[in-house]
This record gives sequence, C-alpha cells and structure tokens, in this order.
Amino acid sequence: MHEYSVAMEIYEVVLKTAMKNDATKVISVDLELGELTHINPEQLVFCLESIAKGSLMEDATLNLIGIPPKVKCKCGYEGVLDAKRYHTISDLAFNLSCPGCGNPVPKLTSGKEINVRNIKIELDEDV
Amino acid sequence: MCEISVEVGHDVLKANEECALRNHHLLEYLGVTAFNVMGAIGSGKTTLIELAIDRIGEKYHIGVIAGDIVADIDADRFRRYDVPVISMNTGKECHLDAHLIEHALEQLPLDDLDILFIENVGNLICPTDYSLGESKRVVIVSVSEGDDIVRKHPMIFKTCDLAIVNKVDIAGAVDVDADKMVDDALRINPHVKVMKTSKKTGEGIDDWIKFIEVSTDAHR
Ligand SMILES: Nc1nc2c(ncn2[C@@H]2O[C@H](COP(=O)(O)OP(=O)(O)OP(=O)(O)O)[C@@H](O)[C@H]2O)c(=O)[nH]1
Ligand SMILES: [Mg+2]
Ligand SMILES: [Zn+2]
Repeated sequence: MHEYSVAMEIYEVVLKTAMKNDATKVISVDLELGELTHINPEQLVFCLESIAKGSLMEDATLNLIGIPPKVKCKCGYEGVLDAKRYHTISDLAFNLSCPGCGNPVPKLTSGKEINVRNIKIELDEDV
Repeated sequence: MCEISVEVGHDVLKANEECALRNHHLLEYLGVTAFNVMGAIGSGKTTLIELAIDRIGEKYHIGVIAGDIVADIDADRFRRYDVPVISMNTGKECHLDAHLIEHALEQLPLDDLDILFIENVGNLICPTDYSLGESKRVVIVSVSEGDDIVRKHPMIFKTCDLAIVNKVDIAGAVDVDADKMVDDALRINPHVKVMKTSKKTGEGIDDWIKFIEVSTDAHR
C-alpha cells in the first residue's frame, strides 16, 4: 500500500546520515519492522532497491529485523503476547488480550516500528 | 578504507506520531474537536459528514478537510454548505498523514472553529497506522461491503472510538446481517461505540449527531 512512501523516507534518512558522515558507500541498513504494521516486507525491499539505484545506497544490504508485538497492562503484565495464539494481524487483533489477566485492550508497547536503527558505511581511510 | 556503524534511530511512524501530537496540542489549545473519519470506499463518509453539517452547522462552527485522491469531488460537496473546506489531493497516497494535516490546519480559520471533520481516504488499512492529531477516530463501513468486512480489517476497529455500520436500509437487498458486523466490531474492541445508520430511513442518525455533540461539548 504505502510501501513506496515509507521506502522514500527511509532512503532519505539513510542518505542524509551517510553524507553527514562522509561515507563513500552504504554497506548495510538495519531496519526494525514491527509485526503489526501494515507493511509488506518484500514490497518494501523492492521499493528501496529501485529508489536506491545509482546512489550511495545502491549496493547496501537491507537487514530486516522483525519486532514482535508487546503489551503493557493495568494488571502489571509487561511483555510479549503468546505467539501460538496468532498467525496473522487479523488473528491477533481478534485475540489480542493481556496474557496476565485477559483484558482485551492492553496498551501495545511495540510491534508498530518502522525504524532505521543503524547503518554501516564505508569511509576513505585518510578521513 | 574503513567501515563504521552509525546509529540512526529514525522511526517513520513515530515521526508521524510526533507531528500528530503537535497538531493535537494545537487543536486542543484552540478548542477544536477533530474527527478523523475513516472507512471503506463509498461507505458514506461524505454523506454522514454532510448530514452532521446540515443538522448542527448552526450550533457549531464546522470546518472540513477532504482527502480526495484526485480532483475536488467531495470538497465541492462540502463547499455547498458554506463551511471552510480544505481539499487535500493525496495523489496516489492511500492515507492522510499528520504532515499533510499540519499544512491544512495552517489554511483553516481554527480560532473560529468548534468542530473539524477530516474525511480520510477510502481505505480500511493504511489510515490505521497514521494518527493525524484527531480527538476521535471514526470508522464507517456499509452493509454493501459484505458482512465479513469488519473481521477482515480488525486493526482499524481496535483503534477507533466509534464504528458505524451504514446503509442498513439495503441490508436485505445485499443479503447481509448488519448485527453480525456490529458483533464483530464489539468482539475486536469491547470499548468501541457502535451504531447502525441509514441516510434513507434516518435510523441511527440521531446517535451519530449526539456522539459529535457530546465529544465536542466535552472540549469546550
Ligand atoms: N441506500 C443508502 N445509500 C447511502 C447511504 N449513505 C450513503 N449512501 C450512498 O452511497 C454512495 C456513497 O456515499 P458517499 O458519502 O459519497 O461515500 P464516501 O465514503 O464518502 O465515498 P468515497 O469518498 O468515494 O470513499 C452515495 O451514492 C450515497 O448516496 C445510506 O444510508 N443508504
Ligand atoms: Mg467521500
Ligand atoms: Zn492484564
């Protein structure tokens, strides 16, 4: 759906960071992707690859790091959900409840990341 | 040649959240209650906003942001009511984001407004991830999308304040049980308010208006 505009924003952030650090090329990008975002990883990679053509980022490896959903509840429970209880976003939204007390609307504390965590870049030796 | 690792820490959705929070504070400060009206294509978003302007446009000062993908079709419908309307052509985008709203807010007479309706792009997936700075999130589906539509898009119902099942007058014609849609919404989110509405018979329209009034009065 909106993978293209997300890819564009990632590209701009990576390139800005690379240039600020006088990189000669970007080697890899670590990207955290929450399992609850409506982003299709393959489409995102495809968009990034086509946007990055001809740039410092052209040959960069994209490391996608899946982030499982975590909740925090009034009852004090804080942690991941029971992964056996869901397979898709749709299952999850139906079954999402606090593993501690069953509260159907615990606060989600992770699972919605689209986060450029860090990048590895190459520099000229004499810099 | 050497390699170094640089921390970035830029989260696309968090960046949107931060912008949404700025919008939210501005709207709160100026006493404007903003409704993010999301929903399926053709489910009746424009219709229900028009009905609200018609019914309470004298009592409250209302403004509208219309998220048409192309052209100004919905914006022109709202302009007939003599309310300030900002049309957001999102191009190929599938949702409005907080940044677009920030710019629209600059063009609206916010000081004078009590209510701001933001008609999002017809889509039950992408708008879910993008807060705009609204006070209330409203999702509108209609019976003509089929009675599985709610369970197929649970995330948007998980995060909304009001879910509307519209066009219940034609439920029989399209062989749909509107109550099943209501039950699904409540199973996904037991705290959500759910209404069945029809522009044709007027069913539920009072409840919709009441919801807007109560939300707005709580703010003033
Ligand atoms: N029978 C019936 N038709 C309705 C009802 N509400 C809206 N409609 C019709 O449904 C069609 C679409 O309504 P809109 O209000 O334009 O829907 P929308 O969600 O704004 O559509 P988009 O902005 O294109 O996604 C129009 O022809 C309306 O007259 C209703 O309660 N019953
Ligand atoms: Mg419309
Ligand atoms: Zn709990």
